[in-house]
Amino acid sequence: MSAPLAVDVLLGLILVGLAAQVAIGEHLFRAIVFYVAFGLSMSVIWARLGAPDLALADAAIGAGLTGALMMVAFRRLVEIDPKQAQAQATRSSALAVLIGVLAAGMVATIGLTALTLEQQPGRAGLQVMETLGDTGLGNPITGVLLVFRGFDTLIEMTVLLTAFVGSRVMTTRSRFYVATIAGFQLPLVRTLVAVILPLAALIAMHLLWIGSDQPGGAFQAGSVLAGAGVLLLLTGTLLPASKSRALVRLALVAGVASLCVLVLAPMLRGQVAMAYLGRGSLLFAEALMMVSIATSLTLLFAGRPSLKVGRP
Amino acid sequence: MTDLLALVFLLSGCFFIFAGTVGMIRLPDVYCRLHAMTKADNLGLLLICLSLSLLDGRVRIALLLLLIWLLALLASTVSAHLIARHSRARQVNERNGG
Repeated sequence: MSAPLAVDVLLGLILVGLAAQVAIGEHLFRAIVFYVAFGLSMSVIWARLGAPDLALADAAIGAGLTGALMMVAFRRLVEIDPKQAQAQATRSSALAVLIGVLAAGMVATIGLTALTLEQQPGRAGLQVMETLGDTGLGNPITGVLLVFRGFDTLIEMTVLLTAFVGSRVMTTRSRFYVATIAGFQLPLVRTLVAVILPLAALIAMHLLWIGSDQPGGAFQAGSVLAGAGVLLLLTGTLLPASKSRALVRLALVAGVASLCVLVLAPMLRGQVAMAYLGRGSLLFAEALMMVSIATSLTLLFAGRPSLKVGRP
Repeated sequence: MTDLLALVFLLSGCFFIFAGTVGMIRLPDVYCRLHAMTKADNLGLLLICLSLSLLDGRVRIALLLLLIWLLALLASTVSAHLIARHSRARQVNERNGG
């Protein structure tokens, strides 16, 4: 076995092992920790597969923010129903084992079939690479997300908005919110915030700016900003607020709105809907998408419709 | 020569990370484990970053790797401090019958 193959096989085994720990782990909290580790290994695997965009997104959203959201959900569960939060997992039933074995068999069959198939050149991929030059973009992922399959991205942003609205509907009566944990006024933590915050802003802007030509873009930039938002919430610099604000609502819909503008604007100029308007239009849409993504993820973590500035 | 130096750094980095992991699994309490994790792992990470920047040879990459190490150092310092503080507060609480 060659060295790169050994690394890949090892990574695959780690991924399966972590997934099994998430599914059959005895304790809920343990499962969350393993899920975060799963997200990190997944991002390493995306990097090995030569998909840095996905690796970035998976590290930031899959491991970082989803982990934070699940931790805060666990914390609320501890407050609402301590017994359930501490409960050991029930023993798996025979049916679950059967379904698991069948699913594994199906995946194995598909995988083995795919290995025996002759490799076909991906026609869609080739077409993207051929026409990418006309758009003036350097990153094919951004080209696909915003030019060739822009409609999908519009729907994705709508899904995010709908998910946020759905969570608001579910938690309107909830009394629980992120508690600023004692000890966060320590000088050490203040220093951490003072160093991390400007860096996070810088990294987000960098990811947004280079997104047209290199790995990066609105989703990665937005989740880095949301990570900074989570840090601010945990340290009490920002606090969850119950009174909704117009500015926050505007930030939530900005992404969907900007993509709608991208769809409709060409029609004003007599072109077909969604005709490509150039790099500037994409940067405009991506910047607003970044704001929306960061705001919705931060607010999901806060569990409240708005934010306010905490004590200095 | 550079490759050899990089190899030495890489292997010793792996050794320190391995030692830190062993410490985390084997040591008896939270404070000892934190000690093993933060100190050994950060030294290991520094050695691996050194080795990688030697292999790459570009100053820009070396500086980026240094930045990554500094960020990891900052994050592990603060989180270790918070975990230790939390654990200590709980111990004091339990001792006072709380």
